[in-house]
Amino acid sequence: MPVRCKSGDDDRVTSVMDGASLERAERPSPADAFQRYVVPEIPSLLRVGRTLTRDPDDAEDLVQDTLLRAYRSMSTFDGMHPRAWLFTILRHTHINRNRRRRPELLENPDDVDAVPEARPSDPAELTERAAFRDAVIEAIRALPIKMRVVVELVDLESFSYAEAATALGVPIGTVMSRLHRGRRRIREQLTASGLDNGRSGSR
Amino acid sequence: MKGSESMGERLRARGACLVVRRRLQPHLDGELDAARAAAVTDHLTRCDRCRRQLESFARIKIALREAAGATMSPKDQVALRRLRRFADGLGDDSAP
Repeated sequence: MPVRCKSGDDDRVTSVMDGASLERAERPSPADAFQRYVVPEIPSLLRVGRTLTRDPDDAEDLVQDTLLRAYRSMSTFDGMHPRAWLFTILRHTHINRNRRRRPELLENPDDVDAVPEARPSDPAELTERAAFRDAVIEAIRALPIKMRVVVELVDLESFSYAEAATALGVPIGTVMSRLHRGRRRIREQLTASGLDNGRSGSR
Repeated sequence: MKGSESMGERLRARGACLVVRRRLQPHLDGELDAARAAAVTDHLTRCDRCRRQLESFARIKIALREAAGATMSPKDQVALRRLRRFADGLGDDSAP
């Protein structure tokens, strides 16, 4: 059954709404799209932002700037791959903030190991699962920042490789390589701590 | 003769393991096409070493998923509330 609708202020009637028109009609307003695509991602933005900045207050400022930029870009956002789009904004915002404030951090982020945050725990008092989880957290915090962000995007935030590649502005092969090396390092650290039976070869 | 056959089998098996281990992580992440995923799954039914390695990566992945919730400190929760309010405020600005 044809969809009949009025077009504009005059009384011209479009007998059949074509696909493009339908798509336009279904596209949410920028404010609605912001609520739909951006707001649910705030926890993820904050987690990744914290990894990028290594400072909770900086992370909050970064996410706030990202939200503002995302909101201003909503009218031009095509609705495709919203997470990759949003995290690309986060990455660009982070780069721009560092360029203004701390240019030295852009030199070679791979050389900068994340400073492990103090997290005292006594594994004997924890369940095995919690001890394992804590060890994984400790291991991921020890990764170089570029590896850590990829592992977080894929494992914590459930990004596909393609989404992570878009968000980080790198080829998929780079995502796979960083992910592979990052997880291998985590596994090696767990094995060294006696928490993983990784004797079967790590490659 | 039997010894050389068994060495050949071992080499083939090792080659298969090398191929599969390159694909273990993409398999875990659901990034392999159906044919490759099926080949990996088939290999895992016959190879304890590769299966243990996959289980090891899977445990890490699961632990990280759990950590996503567990690592939100009270301070993070407060920051989250502030950011949500900020986001809602942006939406309010668009209202006429």
